[in-house]
Amino acid sequence: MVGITQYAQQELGDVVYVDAPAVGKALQAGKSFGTVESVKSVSDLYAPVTGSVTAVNGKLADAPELVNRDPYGDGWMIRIKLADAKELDELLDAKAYQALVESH
Amino acid sequence: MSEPLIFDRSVPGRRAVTFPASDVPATPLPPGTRKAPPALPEVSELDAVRHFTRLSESIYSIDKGFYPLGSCTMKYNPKLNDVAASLPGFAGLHPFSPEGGSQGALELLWQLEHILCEVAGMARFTLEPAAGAHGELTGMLITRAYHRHRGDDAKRRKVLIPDSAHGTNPATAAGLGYEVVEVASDARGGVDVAALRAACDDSVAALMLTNPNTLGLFDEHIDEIAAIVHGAGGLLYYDGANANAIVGRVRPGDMGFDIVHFNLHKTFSTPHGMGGPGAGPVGVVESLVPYLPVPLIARGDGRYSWRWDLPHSIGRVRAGYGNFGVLVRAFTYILANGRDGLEDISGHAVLNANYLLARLGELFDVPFDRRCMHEFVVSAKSLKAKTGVRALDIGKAILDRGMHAPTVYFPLVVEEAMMVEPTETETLEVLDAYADAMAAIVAQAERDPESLHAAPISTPVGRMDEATAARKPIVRWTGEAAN
Repeated sequence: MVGITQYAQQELGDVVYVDAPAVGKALQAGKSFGTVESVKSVSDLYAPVTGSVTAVNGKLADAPELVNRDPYGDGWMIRIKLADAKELDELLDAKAYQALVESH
Repeated sequence: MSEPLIFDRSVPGRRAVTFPASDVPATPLPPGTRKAPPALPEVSELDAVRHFTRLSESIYSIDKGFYPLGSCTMKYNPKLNDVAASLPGFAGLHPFSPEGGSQGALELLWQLEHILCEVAGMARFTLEPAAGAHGELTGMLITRAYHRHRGDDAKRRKVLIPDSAHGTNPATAAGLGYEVVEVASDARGGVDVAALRAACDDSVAALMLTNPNTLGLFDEHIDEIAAIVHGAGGLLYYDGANANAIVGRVRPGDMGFDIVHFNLHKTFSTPHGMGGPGAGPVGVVESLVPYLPVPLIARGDGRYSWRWDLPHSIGRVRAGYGNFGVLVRAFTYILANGRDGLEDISGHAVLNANYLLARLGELFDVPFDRRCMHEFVVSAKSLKAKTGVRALDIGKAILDRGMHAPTVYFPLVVEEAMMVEPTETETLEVLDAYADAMAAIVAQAERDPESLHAAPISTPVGRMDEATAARKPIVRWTGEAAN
């Protein structure tokens, strides 16, 4: 399941639109798979892993504010079927991410 | 908002004008025309006059007060420009007047074109494009035509754009089917030359560059940048959004640019219509003249004419020949200032910006510690961390003090960005009043941050709900009350 972080939603401000790919689309780790638009700016969404999209959160079309309200729950964006589970080792865990944000 | 829509004032049957009964036989409308009357508001003449007068009084403009909206060059537009544009020979001229009946207008356009050529260091200009973004589109169509003519278009699919650029640059390139490749900024705020070199190969169609850029910084590596892009066979496109910083002093052509657009409504003091008539003339170097839009103006045997025989032209980009009234205003402004005057304009624009940067630098973070050009960017990052007051709140709070907000959250490369462009037409007293107002807002943020989240409270419309406006926009009156 892929979305943006609490820190990201705070920095973006009120999210007004999420442009997500269609189910079945092949994604490549580190490449943009869509955009998130807030009242401040439009930002690319980057795929954390390689794989294909198996589901898209249809609720965001009518309620993009879910990304702000519940980024780790109802504000999810897409579900990806992993091509290589080993890629997960490359990602930060919550603690390391927090440290990265705080060092910023 | 206290002023209702004019539709809400409508009373069935009320009329501003009552026509006498027809004394000729009625003729039915041809088939295919409207069967029912349009749903126009039914109001009296006085209702309409009061409605629009009240709206006009709610508007903030440069004629009311300071308007340092970054990257917009909101300078004062001298009334002399309007006097010239209102002359009956100009104002009453029909766009399709025959050449013989519009020699004066053609002469004005010819002269304006050649002044712009001199200012930009270009061979020819088209005055047709109606706005800056329209100029960009025209310039990139010329780029595509050039590569096509050389049989190079199939492989030149990339347009390079720095990460500090205006959004219109990538939008223009993407709209023409190009792949947009972002080039990072370096620590000094200019184009990262190593990143540019890495991105440059024979797939590059052009680099679109604004110099000085949206950070108000002149790119110190422009010669090297031009050499790299030209070395790869690409063209250099100059976005003239910030030309007020260099007009009369530095020419884009001398920096190595191949295509230039100017925003006459910025640099040359014609009104910013907020979507109304603008002008974004495009100039090119000699080798690109064959691709310019038709018609071009020609001069021979003491008379002026339209020239249509340009087989490689991208074609016409606008009906008529540009927004003529706007072109008359820009021509008037240039003649009123003269050559030395243009140099003074950029000089004072840069001086005013640096003065305000020095004063605001005491209040906010300065992301790039350099002398700026005609505008600068400061950041509210530290203030936000300390008080929770953001750039948005500061922009709203300055409205309550009778002045216009800076551009906020742009460019994207600076957090909590506030972009300020005072222009050359403001006095020291105005600049000081603005800096004093900003200092008062910062003091208020430290004392009572909550009060700033509610700003503005004294304007005709208070804090807008921007999120709902973007999520559920109502862009057309449908007859149903909005709720």
